[in-house]
Amino acid sequence: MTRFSQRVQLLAALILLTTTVIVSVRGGTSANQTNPKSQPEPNNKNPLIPKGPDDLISYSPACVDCHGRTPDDVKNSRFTKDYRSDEFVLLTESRTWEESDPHSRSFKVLKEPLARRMAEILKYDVTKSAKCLTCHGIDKYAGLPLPEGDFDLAKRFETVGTIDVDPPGVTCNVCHGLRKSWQSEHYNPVKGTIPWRTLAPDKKKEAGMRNLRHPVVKAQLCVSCHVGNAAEGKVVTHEMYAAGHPPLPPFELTSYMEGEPKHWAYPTDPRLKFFASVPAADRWKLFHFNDAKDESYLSRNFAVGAVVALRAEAELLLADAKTAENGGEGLDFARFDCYACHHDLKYPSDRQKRGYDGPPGRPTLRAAPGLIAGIVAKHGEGVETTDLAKTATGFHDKWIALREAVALRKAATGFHDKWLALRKAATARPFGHPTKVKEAAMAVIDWCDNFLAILGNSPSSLYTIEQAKRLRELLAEAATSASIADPEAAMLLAWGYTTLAREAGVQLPADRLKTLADTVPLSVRAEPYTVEQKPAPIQFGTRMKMLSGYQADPFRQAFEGLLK
Amino acid sequence: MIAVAWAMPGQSESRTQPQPDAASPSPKPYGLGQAPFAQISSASCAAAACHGGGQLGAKGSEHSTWAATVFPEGPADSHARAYRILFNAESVRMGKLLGIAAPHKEALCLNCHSVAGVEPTAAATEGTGCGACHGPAEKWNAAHVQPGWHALTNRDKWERYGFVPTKNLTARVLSCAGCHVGDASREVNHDLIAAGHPRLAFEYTRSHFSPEYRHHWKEQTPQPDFEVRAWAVGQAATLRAATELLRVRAERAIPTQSDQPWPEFAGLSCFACHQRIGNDELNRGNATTPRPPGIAGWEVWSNAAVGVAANLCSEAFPSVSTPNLADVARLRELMNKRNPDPKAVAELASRAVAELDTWLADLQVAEDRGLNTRIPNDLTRKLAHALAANSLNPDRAKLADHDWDALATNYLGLGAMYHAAGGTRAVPGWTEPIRELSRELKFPTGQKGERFHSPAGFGKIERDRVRDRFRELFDATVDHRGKP
Repeated sequence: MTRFSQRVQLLAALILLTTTVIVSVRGGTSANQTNPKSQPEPNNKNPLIPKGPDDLISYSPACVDCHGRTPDDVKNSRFTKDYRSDEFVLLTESRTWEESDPHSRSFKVLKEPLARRMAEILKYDVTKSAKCLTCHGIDKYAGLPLPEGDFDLAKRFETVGTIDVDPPGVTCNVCHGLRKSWQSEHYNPVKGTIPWRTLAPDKKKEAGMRNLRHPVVKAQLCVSCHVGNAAEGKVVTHEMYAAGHPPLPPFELTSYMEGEPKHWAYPTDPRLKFFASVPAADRWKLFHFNDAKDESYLSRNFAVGAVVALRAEAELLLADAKTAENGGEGLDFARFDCYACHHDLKYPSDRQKRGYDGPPGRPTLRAAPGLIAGIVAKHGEGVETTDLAKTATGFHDKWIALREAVALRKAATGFHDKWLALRKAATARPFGHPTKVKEAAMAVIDWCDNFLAILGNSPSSLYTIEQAKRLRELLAEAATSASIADPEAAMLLAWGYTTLAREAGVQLPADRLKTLADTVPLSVRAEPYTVEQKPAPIQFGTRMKMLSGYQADPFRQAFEGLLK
Repeated sequence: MIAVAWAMPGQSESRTQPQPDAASPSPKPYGLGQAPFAQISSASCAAAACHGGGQLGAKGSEHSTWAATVFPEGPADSHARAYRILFNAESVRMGKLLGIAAPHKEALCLNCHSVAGVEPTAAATEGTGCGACHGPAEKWNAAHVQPGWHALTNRDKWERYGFVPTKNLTARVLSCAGCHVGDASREVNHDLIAAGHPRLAFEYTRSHFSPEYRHHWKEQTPQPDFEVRAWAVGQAATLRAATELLRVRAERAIPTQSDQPWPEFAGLSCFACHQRIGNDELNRGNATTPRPPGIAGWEVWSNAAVGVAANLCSEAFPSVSTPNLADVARLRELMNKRNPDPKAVAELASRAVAELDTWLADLQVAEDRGLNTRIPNDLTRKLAHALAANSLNPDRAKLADHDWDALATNYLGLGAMYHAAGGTRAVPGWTEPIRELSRELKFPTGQKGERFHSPAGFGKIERDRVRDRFRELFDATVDHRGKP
């Protein structure tokens, strides 16, 4: 053992003893804090929310001018020539979105046969109801007057009438920011100021642009629709499922990133030369990434996505529990594991083999979000403090890395008990015991917030190459050591593992992947997307058959085969 | 301890049950719940000179016929085996899942699988013995062999002696329903079912005429009168028991911090949830199901055909008029919610029980007055027609309710009418569609020998076929003038 590593370990021990003091110091030293706390910013103070009708960005055609280039166009664009914009963005974004991103079809699908049948059963117009439009066509009323004062997006749909023009779906603005103010500023900066692209993320946010390079901000935005967000009126209820809404695939950030036809590129992408030129000290601060040799970009995103998704699920449970306390109907069936109830009754019983959280006969919560977040927590608890320090250079940076590692380990602890308490509260009686669910959900949310405070703010390389390997090992262990009864959990394990393995350059033989793909779909969307190809219709029936035909043992065996 | 156990259900029926209108309490049928007297062992009935005559099926050999050991061959009375099955592998596994070390010692199980509170306690091993159905014999054991016994009214026998006059169909089926639907102290809830207990799906005539059941008595009423009346009484009594059970469960769930299951899934349609999901075609696609999507219906099993029994009972029971079941209908409506307010449910269920009691009391009185008049000639046809119509929407293009329980209930009613009418020799045109319905609704057997307890794979295509069979029966059951 070298003298240095001895010193490092000594230091680590010292830090462990004085964690509380140091953690309290953290806040002051870490720049660029993101606040994932449960209290959202009030709408009138949130710079991402338009201040009134005049502050709404005009509809996406404005973006197409610059971002809708063909690849040939890009070379000749004046932005390429004058600003080397092609080294920062792709300039083909709108085309990719329009031609192959399912988000561009999110309103159109509301007019297709499946949606029409849903409307018939639900007895409301799915092309007009805020229940649908909050996710499917959030830009529907862009440009129309907004209500005065404090408003939220869900309310916006209730108060504004309808228009005849079809909304374009989940457009640029929905994710990047609905406010007008940043629209001209981001390509036409005020003279004498810092160029837009190197502006601090906080400043961009003040102008109304969402900082989608930040993993927590990005994940929170995705899960608001792909898991749900009650405060924003984005909830897929069991009633909708029963009327025919396709099941939301389980959420895992990196496989969603990989599965989306990319109109963007990772900061480590060689095409975007700009990012390589950002000084190391600014990489995290401005664009939230570390050098690929120091940190696995996708591992960090995986961890963030897992915890953000769990947090969103806990928020939905909390919202339901609060309404139940006030005489509401309690937890919606959609919050529970579909397959706890939806199975044929037969003996010997697969359901009995799975076991129960509480008394047999009570719906159990979805297993998938807790399983993945649990693996991230287990990983965090076991982070080697010295390993994190290895990538840092200089004593100061090493000291910071150690400090972050200790904080990560501390924040990761206690997950298992909190998640179990929430599951038990949900089975204390059918639809959950409101007060117990509320308290347990709040404890889980607190855990997530503490963990995300580090994952979202630490500039250190938390998921070093070695740590990323450990994370993959834990995923593989979960997939092969126990029987994974829940198809959604199996999917997340398969998605997460294969995505992270590909990033690390691990060989995944095609024939073994094929065997695994016979047990669970291996991507969020089974259908391939290319820029040239229009999105295929969702293979709803095929997808559902895979879900309902899922079997635990073949999955485990196929996963074992992949690891050999 | 034992005394408390048997006294409780009696109390819940007679004292604690809120009366909707104290000034004019609704009439109640006799034979409800359990009489507050001591149970005695069936062994005391088995004397050779009494009911242990030893001649299979003969009068005076009731106990010998009932017991599992005297005539081990052929069909048997499964009540006599109720205790012993608590030792089989399935019961032991159920116990394990529920945290019950010994099911054969657990009151929860013994309340139905033996005679609750029987003395001596060793007599529990007899299974569901005489007293379970005929009432606790503490008072009537001596009295029923006295000369004055036959002069007593049925109500006297029940109220003074705790004897269940099972010759009266209403008293009989209400007694069956105590276990086969359940009551406050005898309850199969969803926790039990999940652990492996079969669901309860009671229809009296199906059990009565089951080829596997060995009767220890001879029915006095001839066919088709017996079966038509038994089916109608069964509809009323089953729904009454289910509604009272709902009231009990709702009462328990009222305190905000109550840990009692609510809603109790055992009272909802099993296969609304227990089906594989993800068919392109929604099961409700070809039905006018009166429930919102995503809601499992409350007691569809006991509700689906009760309207037919109510509308036509005046023809089977002269002087009985069509009952008022407005609160029952309101209760169904209220239960079309995922998690209805237990207080509102308890109140409305209490009123619905009163309505059903009034109806049952009417049926009971009509029976006791003596049903010398036979039922009208074509009442089986008329009821069958009404049941076929009941399973379809008014223009018969769709099913009225896609739920398997609704289809099965209508099918069982049709089966009872077919059987009562005399089967294929009497009504040959009904035979094929009824057999087809039976095949469609049957639970499949797994390829690897698994036993299915649900209609696995019963989707829209199968429902279309079922609808067509109901249509055929609708057409086959019009009268000679082509009228209903």
